[in-house]
Amino acid sequence: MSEELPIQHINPIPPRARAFQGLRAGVVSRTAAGALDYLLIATTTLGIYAGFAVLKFLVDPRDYQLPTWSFGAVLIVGFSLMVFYLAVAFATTGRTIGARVLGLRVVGRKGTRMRWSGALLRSLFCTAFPIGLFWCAVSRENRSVQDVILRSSVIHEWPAGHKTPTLLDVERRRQL
Amino acid sequence: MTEGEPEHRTASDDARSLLPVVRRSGPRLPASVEGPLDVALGAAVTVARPLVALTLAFARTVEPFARDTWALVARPPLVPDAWTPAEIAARLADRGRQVRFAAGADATAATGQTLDAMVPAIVEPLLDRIDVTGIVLQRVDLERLVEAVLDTMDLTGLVLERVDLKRIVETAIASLDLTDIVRTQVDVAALAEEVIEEVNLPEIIRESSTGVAGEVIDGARISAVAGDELVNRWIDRFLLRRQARRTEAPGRPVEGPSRDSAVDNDSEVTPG
Repeated sequence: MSEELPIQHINPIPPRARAFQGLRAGVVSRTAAGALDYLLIATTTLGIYAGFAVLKFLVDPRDYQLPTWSFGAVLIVGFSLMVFYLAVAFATTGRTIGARVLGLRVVGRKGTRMRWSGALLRSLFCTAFPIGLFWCAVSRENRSVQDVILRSSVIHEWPAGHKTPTLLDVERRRQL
Repeated sequence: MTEGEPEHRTASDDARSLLPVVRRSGPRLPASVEGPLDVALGAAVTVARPLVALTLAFARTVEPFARDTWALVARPPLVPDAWTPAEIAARLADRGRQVRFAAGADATAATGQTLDAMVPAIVEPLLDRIDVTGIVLQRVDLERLVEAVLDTMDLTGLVLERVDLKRIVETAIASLDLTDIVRTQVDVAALAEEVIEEVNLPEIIRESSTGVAGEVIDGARISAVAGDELVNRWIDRFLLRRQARRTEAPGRPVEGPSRDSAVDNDSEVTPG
């Protein structure tokens, strides 16, 4: 009986937001998402610094001094973290945490998930030239410099969130 | 019912036609007897009629004299009452009447007893030898009979009055697997879909599962989209653009997470 029941996916996206799903996002959404990601990376870099300091204290508590990182070192750590984080995000779900919060997704040329090489290239490009994002305010197609060159897009695609119950689920629960 | 009469008949007609019909024409005698008999009867009637009329006229004339004569004879003068012929006749009549009544009662009782004894003795073997059911089936228009009977009966009222409907329904329900019947006979899935369509269940589930945090995030996203549009409008106006932006991305929006697993094999980026 339960096999015959149709699986009805329930659209979790509110009706007022359905109109722009799949369209390329504008500069405000993308900047907000990027700011969240920067904040995350900055916090993580700070965390790494704190962890390093604690480790240093544990290794040599007697002559303990706060570690002094040069700006360049912080930059390198932050840069590496950012590149790694963005590449993984682009190639797996297409969403960074900032993009998830803002309901955005990075897609490739044909609108599907990017390959690892493309994702790495884009993450390098985004980290090295963040100001390129603002080109999407000018671009007729809402594309940043990175998008224009790598032919990627950032679209509105609100995450489905937690799985909503289907008729099949309801039937299974009833049978338990 | 004669030929040519309209075929439509009412219930009362049917009921009336159920009554036995007596044949009007009498039994016919052989022609050799009938002719002379009729002649004789005609002759007798022709002769008898004047005779009877004459006799009646004579009787009417004589009757007053006869009555006076009988009165004189019945109660002659100078004879005591008890000895007059009228009184004697009255006494005899009383006695005769008593005897007649007693004999009549005896005869009635005797007849009743005789019939009680005889009727079963005759009818039972008779019925044993007759297939009454067969005869009824063969000779009786049962359909018409039943229809006529049903017409005169309030069957619904009778059932309501005499039948324990509650018990019947309860027994019927107890002997039925209603769930199974519903499962096999009713398109439950279609029904459920119709109900869901009617009550807009997806919207209810969506609203109940979004929660407050979801509402805040939804609001933030919507605000960001509004900001996007505002900035785009300003810049387009500044750049004197007249055409709208082409923001349709390749592919179509996906509502579920299934798209995350789809790899774009052609998304090999070509820098430059």
